[in-house]
This record gives sequence, C-alpha cells and structure tokens, in this order.
Amino acid sequence: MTSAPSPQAGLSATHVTVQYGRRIVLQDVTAGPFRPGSVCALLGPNGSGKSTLMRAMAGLVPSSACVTLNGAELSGMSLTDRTARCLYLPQALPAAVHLPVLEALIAARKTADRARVLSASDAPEEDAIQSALESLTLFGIPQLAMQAMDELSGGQRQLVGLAQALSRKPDTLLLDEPLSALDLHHQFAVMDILRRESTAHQLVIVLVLHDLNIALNMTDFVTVLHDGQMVASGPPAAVLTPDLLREVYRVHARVEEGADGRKFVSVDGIA
Amino acid sequence: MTALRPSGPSQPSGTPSLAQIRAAYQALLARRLSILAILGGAICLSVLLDFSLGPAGLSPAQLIHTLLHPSTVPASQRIIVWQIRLPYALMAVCVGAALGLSGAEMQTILANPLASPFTLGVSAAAAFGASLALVLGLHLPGLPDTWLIAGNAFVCAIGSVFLLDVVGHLRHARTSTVVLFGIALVFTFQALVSLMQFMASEDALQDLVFWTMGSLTRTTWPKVGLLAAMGALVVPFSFRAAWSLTTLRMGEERAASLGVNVPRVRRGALLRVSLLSALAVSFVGIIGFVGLVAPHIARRLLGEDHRFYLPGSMLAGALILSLSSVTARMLIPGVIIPTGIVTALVGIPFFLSIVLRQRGLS
Ligand SMILES: Nc1ncnc2c1ncn2[C@@H]1O[C@H](COP(=O)(O)OP(=O)(O)O)[C@@H](O)[C@H]1O
Ligand SMILES: [Mg+2]
Repeated sequence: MTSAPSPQAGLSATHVTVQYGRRIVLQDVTAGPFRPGSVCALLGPNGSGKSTLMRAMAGLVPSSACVTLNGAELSGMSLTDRTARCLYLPQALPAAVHLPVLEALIAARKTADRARVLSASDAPEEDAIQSALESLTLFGIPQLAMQAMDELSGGQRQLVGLAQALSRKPDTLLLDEPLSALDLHHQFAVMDILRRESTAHQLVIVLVLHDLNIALNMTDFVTVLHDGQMVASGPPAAVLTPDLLREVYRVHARVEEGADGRKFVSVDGIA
Repeated sequence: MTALRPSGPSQPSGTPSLAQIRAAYQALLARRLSILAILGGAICLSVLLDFSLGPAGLSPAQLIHTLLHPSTVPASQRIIVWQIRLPYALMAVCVGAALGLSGAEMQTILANPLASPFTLGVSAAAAFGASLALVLGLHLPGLPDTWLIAGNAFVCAIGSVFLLDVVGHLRHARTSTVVLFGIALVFTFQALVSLMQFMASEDALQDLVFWTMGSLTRTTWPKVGLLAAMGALVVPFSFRAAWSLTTLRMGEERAASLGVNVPRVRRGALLRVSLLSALAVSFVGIIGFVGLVAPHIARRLLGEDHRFYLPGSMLAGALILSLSSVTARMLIPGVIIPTGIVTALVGIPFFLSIVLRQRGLS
C-alpha cells in the first residue's frame, strides 16, 4: 500500500445481517475496506460468526449485505460471476475423493464449463492444466500432482485446497482458517506465499486466523468479531490490546515486543 | 525450508518436472480410455456369448447369417434370434447401463456410497406399482395390455424419486436426510407389496413374485427402443455436468464456493436418474445389485473424474447385467433363471476382486 488507495479500492461489506432460522448470527456488521495488495485477518472466538461473515461476503448465504469490490456492487451478480471475482475457501478440508490432485485443481477451474467426456486429448483443458501446475508449484507440492486425494494427509489436502483457490486467479480470496491443519513450517510458508501473491497481483486477501502472533506480525489489517458483532478493526498492533484480548478471548494476556521489534502475545491465564 | 521453494537450489530430488507431470497425466488419461475400451470389448463378448448359448444353441456362423440375412433362414430360427435373443441381450446392456449411471449420479449428489435406485426405494416403488396392476387390476387408462404393468411401475418409481426430491428441499434437510428417507421408502413399499401378496389370488401371487425377481424375459423390441431412446436423451446432460459433479464430490460447500449451483445440479441429476432408473426397473423388475456396485467398480478402476466415472459406471453396469443374463441361461440347462436372482451372485465376485485390490491411480 504505497500510494494512497482510492476510498473505494478493496472489498467492503456493510449492513451484514445473517440469521439461521430465527437465530441472528450476524447483527448489522460492517467490515472492510480490505485493501488490494494487503493481507487481512478476521479474528474472533469460536462461533463468533467469522465463517458466516465470509460466506455472506461471498454471496453463499442469504443476507441483507451490501458488498462492493473496488466500488462495484457484487450482490446483484450471478453466482458464477461473483465466485469468479471473490472466492471463498471453506473451513472444511477438500473431501478425500479418489481423484488425482492435478484433476482436483482442473475440476475447480472448469466447474462452470460443459465437460467433454471421453476425450483423451487434454487440449481443451490446457489453460486449466497450466494454471493448476503453476499453483501446485507455488505451494511447493508438484510432487503430489498425480497422487489421489484420498491418499493425502489432512495438511496436504489443505494445501491442495489453497492451490485450488489460487489457481482460479480471483481478485479476492476469503480464506477460512487456511492454516488449521498445517505444520509450523507450512503455516509461515503459506503466509509468505499469500503476502507475495497479494503484492504481486494486488489481491484482496482476508483470512480467518487463530494464531494471534501470525496476525500481529504477518497481516496488515485485522477485524475482530465477537458474538456476531464487529468489535474492532485496524492495524493489528493497535487492535490487539490486553483489554480486547480479555474482553473477546477471555484471557489475561500481554502484548510484548521482542528485541527485533516483532510483537508477540503472552498469555498469563484465562480470565 | 526447501519444500515450498522447488525452484530453489536445494530442490528435493523427488520433485518431478512439470513436463513429467503432464506426461504422467496424459498416460493416465490414455490408461482410462483403454480401461473403458476393455469394458466395452468385454460387453461385446458377453453379448455374443448370450446369443450363442442356450437351449437352441446356434453356432456363431449360423447366428451371423441369421442376423445379416434374416429372410433366408427358417422362420423358427429367425424368431429365436430376432425376437428373443437379440432383444434380451440388448435389454441387459441397456438396463445395466441405465442402472449403473443412475447409481453413479445418486452416489455423487447424495454424497453417499450406498445410494442407488435399489437402496433408495425406486425399485420397491416399481414393485408396488406392478402389484397394483397384478393384484388389484388398477392401471393407467389408455395403455395397451402389454404395457399395463410397466406403466404402473414407472409411475410409482418416478413418484418415489419425486418424494426424495421434495424431502431434499425441505428446510433443514441434508443429504443424509434424503438417504434415510429413501431407506424408509424401501421398507414402506416392501410392506405394501407384502400386503398385496397377502391379498392376492394364487395366480396373481405367482405373477407378482416372479415380477419382483427381476427378469429380462419380458423384453420386447419397443421396450428396448424406448429405454435406448431415453438413454440417448438423458446421457448427454449427465456427461455435460461432469465437471460440476466432480467438484461436488469434494464437498457441497466447496462446490458452491467454486460457483456450482448445487441445488440445480442436484435437481437435474435427480430428474435424469428418475427417468432412467424408473424406466429400467419398470421393464425388467427388481434387479438390485447393479446400480449399487457398478459405480464402485468404475470409481476404483477410473477414479472420480466424472468424465470417465460416469461412462465407466454405465459400462460396468452393462457388463455385469450382460454376464448375469448369460449365467441365468447356463446355470440350469434348459431353464432361464430370473436375472435378478443371478445378478448378485455374478456381481459379488466381480465386485470384490476389483474393490479389494490395492488402491492407487497409477
Ligand atoms: N448452518 C447453520 N445453521 C445454524 N446455525 C449455524 C449454522 N452455521 C453456523 N451457525 C451458528 O452461527 C454461529 C456462527 O458460526 P460461524 O460463523 O461458523 O462461527 P466461526 O466461524 O466464527 O467459528 C455459531 O454460533 C453457529 O452455531
Ligand atoms: Mg468458522
């Protein structure tokens, strides 16, 4: 975010109210703007409505939300157009199906297309194959390309899910707990990749995180949800204060700064 | 820190180049096509066998002669080949393919490996429809006599799928709700058929029991033609939806987030399944096993890319039923055992030999 962004740049959601049955899960939430070229975190305890907010922004649950991307209204678009621009990556891992990883990525690209059954030539799928291979290489898993999804570990499937999402090349990525099944190395590696991709292609990336230290040091902007309401949003160091952590996460915690300027949350106990 | 930077200097030696991956994928596609071709070849062999075995065993030469020059052979031989053998053999292939495809689509849209026209009540509903005609004499007006039972069976079978669809659209319904409801339908219709059997006269009872055993001997040319036409109408829509269905297999929410209109894909598949499977079971009675296992065989042989999985399920179904039809002639000389009885006996070894093999795609 070098030059000052126009006020409309990025993804904004206003007046998001979602109810499941009679239960109101999100109450008039306003979130954003999540700026292009940045990586933003959506934080909050379990059940606070993070997934629901992401689904509402992606148009996957009925809501009264007004969602705009770079000033353009998304709400009126068809599901196909909308998901092509703003892609939600669900919290659940991709199912363990008997399908090679490469094909899982190709299918994710071709969903809306008519299939050519029984064609041995991959010419019609060439661009899908190309972007699938690029995406697998980006996440460092080309060696999994020909392995079946039902022979992968959970973490590997999560990487495949991420590769699927990025191979579609949307402008906006809403990633729901994309690090949940990853080891320490891959958590940081994926954050690195997302930051680089976001800068390189001016993507809007919003992700749900539970690791506050990653949020503090590797994101540009955080939004905190609590009981279906937005309670804070802004730069991570300004938002994640001991008061907020006690209020929202119900822990006694301090935010400390290491010698190299990196911040970390140190938890003393539960409140 | 190498694993995520394959372009770096310390790239692990096991990482294949992109060209290697492309080649491997090409090889996989070619291998799948050859598996489909082998299944197709096996069906042809089985149909030939179906022809040349049996009480009035004709030699292959006589057979081909009768097929090519029907007017030059004795009438009895012509009738056996053209009016009995050929329609039976083709019906076995068509019904097997219809049930295989129906099972495959049902298992995908309901995300359940136990879904099939048999396990979700379509067959049982058809039997109930048949029993209405056989026992109570209730039937649709305006149909010719030979179509009365099939007409009833068809209407009830379609109705049962319609009920599944309605339940699937209720609020709070999940795919597991639909599967449970389908199983409830099986028990309900079975109970109703038992009630009919209890009330039936001795003749009607015999007809009904025989109908529920599932048999190809009720085949006529118009029925073969109608089923084939239905297949020609419906199958292109199935194949066209292959990518959406493949994505749906990876999870409903994931498919939706990738832009698949999940309710529409489900409803389209259910419509196709209802037409194909209802027509198939209404012509041949209850043939249970095929729709359940053909998709599993296809999945194991070909993977779950629906571009191959759907045609694979059709071919596997056609092969099982054709082999069953052969076995039904051979088991007791001079007697044609109802195919429905034989199907499971033939299918289980076939099924186990494929499903219990080592997993893996390449
Ligand atoms: N499909 C659903 N039906 C009913 N309630 C739901 C559904 N999905 C989520 N909820 C409820 O909505 C609330 C928010 O859920 P969610 O957005 O998944 O939370 P988070 O992702 O922050 O953990 C939770 O209390 C949950 O019980
Ligand atoms: Mg969640």
